[in-house]
Formats: sequence, structure tokens, C-alpha cells
Amino acid sequence: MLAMLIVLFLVIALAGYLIGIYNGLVRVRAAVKLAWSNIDVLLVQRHDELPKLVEVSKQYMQYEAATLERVMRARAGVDAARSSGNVASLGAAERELRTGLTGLYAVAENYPQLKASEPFRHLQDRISGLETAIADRREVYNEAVNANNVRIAAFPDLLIAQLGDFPPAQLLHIQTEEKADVDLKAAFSR
Amino acid sequence: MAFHPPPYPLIAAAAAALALFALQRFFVRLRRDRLFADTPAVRLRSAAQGYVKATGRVEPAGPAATAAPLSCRPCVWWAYEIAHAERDSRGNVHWHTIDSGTSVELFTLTDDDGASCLVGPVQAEITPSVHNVWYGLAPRPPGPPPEPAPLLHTGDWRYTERLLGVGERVCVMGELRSHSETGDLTAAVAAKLHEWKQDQCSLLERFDTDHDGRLNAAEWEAARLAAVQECQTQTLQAAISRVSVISEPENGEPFLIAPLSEAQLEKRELRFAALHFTLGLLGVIACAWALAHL
Repeated sequence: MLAMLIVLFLVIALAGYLIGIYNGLVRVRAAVKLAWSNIDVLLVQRHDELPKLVEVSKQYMQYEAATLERVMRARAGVDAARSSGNVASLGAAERELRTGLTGLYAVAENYPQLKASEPFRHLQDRISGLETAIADRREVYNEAVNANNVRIAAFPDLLIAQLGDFPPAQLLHIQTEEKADVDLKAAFSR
Repeated sequence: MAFHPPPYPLIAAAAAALALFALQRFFVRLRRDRLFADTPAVRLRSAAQGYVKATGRVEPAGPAATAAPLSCRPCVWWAYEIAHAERDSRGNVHWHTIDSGTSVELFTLTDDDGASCLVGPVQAEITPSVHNVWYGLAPRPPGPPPEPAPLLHTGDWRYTERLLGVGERVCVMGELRSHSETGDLTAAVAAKLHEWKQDQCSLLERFDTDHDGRLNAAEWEAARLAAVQECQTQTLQAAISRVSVISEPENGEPFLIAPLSEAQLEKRELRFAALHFTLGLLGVIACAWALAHL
């Protein structure tokens, strides 16, 4: 009697534990999707703000069409990557857009009237704010991805993950060009 | 003297109930442990709406900290209980709660970035940073608990106070909701046009392009567009006030405020899970023992 009841208790506990693991895996998978959606919302907002910034800049920077076009091209690239949900290409497109925006802000330094313009400053602040929020949410997304990937690779979750549809998620990397090692030898040989 | 055998059926039923309860709590604790481990901590300045985990320091929402009702110590949250000792015919002491209360006042959580939000502690599972029990002779304590606490207590009144101190570093898990006050653009445009209409001369001077002394449809449309543009610029310039509050989740997830780190929270849940599992196992053994004697 004692052995039977203990075995029954352990079986129920084990079954509940396994159900808990499955539900936990479902939750981390959903958390990754939610974290992605939370970035997506901000990407859409920035997508809507960028044409306004370019439009305001155009009024003063008639001779900087290439800089403005680069921003708009990068914007389209981010939007395409965002729509397809391709994390790797979004990272590359984001890098391109950041480079374009950095270029735009640098060129704007040569146009004091543009720098002094209220709409330009507000749009610049707004877009910078969105950039910060995107960076913060990227951290949360990557943490959610990490939790998902660790769960599906760690025992005993691994056993349940292999039975269900629990693929690993991809981290969102936005490597900036400045991170690349500087070739000092080449720089000094000029 | 007749020997009365223990009530084995009752013991078996109680032990089975204990085992089932402990098993249910074991599952709940395991689920919470995973939830705490798998929920990433957010930064308040950019947190999305929904269930979040945030860490930071707690401060009063108002200019001054709340005073704890029994000890008058400053805090952001309090709960208290006053109990009175009553003795039965056998001389056993029973404590009866005479008065109790829990703070519902909002307080502020400020994270490492300096961003803050409000926390509404109603229905929260709060781990206090201070927990005192002391005794006295009056229905209300004369002051804060004695330091250090005496080994023996005297008095028929027991005072229990739990506080969350000002400046404590806490981990909060709950539902974040934000309210923004951005204003209504349509209403702003209507108000702007109404304002312009009050000064007909300026309006005509600005938009009456054919100088016939009145605004035709095209000129009126130009005026409307100018009003829209002006209002949009003003909206851009206006500081958007955003108030965020962490409160009880609507989907039944735990609403937790604890002066513990994330790792300590997870460990605590695991410890409780192990405790409940052991309790369940003991319940099963007790149940089997009682059934064997039936």
C-alpha cells in the first residue's frame, strides 16, 4: 500500500512536472514573439517619422541629395526586413540606417539654419528617443531569445522540446561599423 | 480506562488532503520559478505595456514618506495587525485579531536609468523589508518596537507590523499600463480655426489670395492645412506626459514586490517547491500508514 501510494504520488508529480516544462517552453516561445512585436511597434513609428525628418532637411540641404537618399534607401531596407521578420537582415539594415542617420546629422552641422530649425530638432530628438527605445527593447528581445535557447538546449526541457515545435530563435545583432578594428598601420602609412 | 484507537479514517483523509494541497503548491511554485527566470527585466524608460519584471529603488509618490500606523516609521508600504490574547477555560491563550490594515497608497519605482513609474500595491504579494512583532499592555503601541527585541514578552496585546522601507531595492513583477496625454489634433485644429476666425482681417490678409474680400473653398482649404501644420508643430513641441503604473495583472499572473534580487527570487521559489514536494511525500506516507491500520 505504502509503496503503491508513493509511486502514484511520484508519477503524478512527474507528469505535472513534464506538463510544466511543456507550458514553460510555450511561454518562452511566446515571449520571444512578444519581444519582437514590441520592437516592431517602434520600428514602424520610426519608419513614419523618418520622411518628416528628410522633408524638413530637404528645405535646407538641396545639395545633399545623396545623404538624404541613403537614409530613405536604408529606411526601405529596414522596412523590408521588418515585414519579412528576418532578424539577420534586420540587423544589417539597421546598421545601414544608423550609418545613414549619423551621416545626415553630421552634414546638418554645416547648415546652421537647419540645426536651429525647431521641427528638425524635435524630429531629431524624437528619432533619437525611438533609437534608444529600440536599443532597450533589443536587449529584452535578446534576453527572451537567450531564455528560449537555453531552455530548449538544457536537460530535461530538451526532451520535451524535441517532441514539439520549439525551434531556436535568432539574436538581433546590430554591429556598428565603428566596432571594426582600426588598421593603424594603414592609417599611419598615408 | 478504555483505550480509544486513533481515528485512522480521519488521519488518512487529512493526510491525503495535505498531500494533494502540497502537490498543487509544488506545481505552482515550479511554474513561478520558471516564470521569474524566463521573464526578462525591462528598462522603465522603454518598457512595453503588459506583464513586466522591473528592478529599482522604491520612493514615496508624494513629497513625504508614509508613516507606518503603529510605529510611525517612514515607509512606502505597510501592513499591520493588532491582536488580543484571550484565555479559555483550560488556560490556553488564543490571539484574536482586533484590528488590521494594509496600505493601498501608490509609490514610485526608479530604475538604474533614473526612469520611474508608479506601483499600485493593491492585491500585491509583498515581501516586507521589515517585519516586527512586539507586545504591550494597551490596544495601541506606545511607540516603535523595542531594540533589541526582548527574549520574553509581557502584555496581552500583540502588534505586528510589516514595512517596505524608503529607498529599498526591489524586484517588481506585474502589469505595466501607461497613459499618455498627447491631446486631440482634430479638436486642436478646430480651435485654431475658430481663433483665426475671430480676427477676420488677419485671416483675409493671410489666405485671401484673389483679394475678393472673402475666402473661397480653395482658400479655406489652404487655411485649414495651415492650421493642421501649426497644430502638428505644436504637438511635436509639447512635452508628452506619460504616467506608467505597475499593478495587478489581469491574466492571473503573480503580482510580486520583493526586496530581493532576481536570483534570490528564483531560489526562494525553488526552496518552496522542494518544501511542498517533501510535505506532499510525507502526506502520502502518513495516508498509507493510516490506511494500513484500517
